[in-house]
Amino acid sequence: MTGRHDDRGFVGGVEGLLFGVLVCLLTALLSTTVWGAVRARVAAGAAAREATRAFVEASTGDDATASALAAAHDTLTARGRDVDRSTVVVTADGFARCTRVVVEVAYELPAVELPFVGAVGAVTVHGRHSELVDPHRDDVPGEAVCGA
Amino acid sequence: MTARGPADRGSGLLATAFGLTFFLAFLLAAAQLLLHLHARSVLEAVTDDAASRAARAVPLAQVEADARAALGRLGDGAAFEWGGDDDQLELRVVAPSPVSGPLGQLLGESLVEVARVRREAPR
Repeated sequence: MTGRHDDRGFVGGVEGLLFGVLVCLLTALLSTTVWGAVRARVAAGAAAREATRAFVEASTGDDATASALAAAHDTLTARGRDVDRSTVVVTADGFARCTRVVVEVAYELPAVELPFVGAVGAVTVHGRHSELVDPHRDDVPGEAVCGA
Repeated sequence: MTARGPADRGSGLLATAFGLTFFLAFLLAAAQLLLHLHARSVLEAVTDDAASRAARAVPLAQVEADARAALGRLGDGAAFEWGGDDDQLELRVVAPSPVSGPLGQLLGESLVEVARVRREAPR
């Protein structure tokens, strides 16, 4: 019987465990990258939501879009994001009761960030939010025709 | 018993022990990293919720108590800092990182999340 005495079939040395270490490293890298994208997506969504709220609660239609853009940038800045990497698009058919406003925030981030190498590639995440201008609020001209 | 068998016995012991320790250390680091990411995600979500509720005039003491409960052990040492102005409310939450050791120092000993929301009021 030789099974108990020799090392045949034994691959538990450094060369065998190196594969396990690589698996750990790649798993950590993948998790960090995906998590970073999810976090950026949450930040973009929050910025879109705040921009929409700023638009529908604006005092006048003249400054509604500017308020929305400022709110989106404020939210991104508060979350430590670079505003220069973002694109904010406010779409609304005027400023009146029941008008729907849609805000889309796009944020570009590195696809993979490697130690000692830096950012590799780029992906863009999107956040989107939509609301109606409150039909019952003050300071907005016209009648509420949300159901029409 | 072969002629080669006795000569090879124990030859992989050192490499195995060293390699296994190395592998387990990396496994521990990967697990701690995931724990860190999870804690930050939880803190971010709770911070967002707390700021949104406070912006809708829910009493701050109640908001903080609910947030600490939602954070679980992470909330025990968490500090809530409220700020902002008449239009905006800012909440900064600082909580101790659940990751300790060398990786904990590398990732940061505390987690910080900031949420800025507009104050909601009838118009």
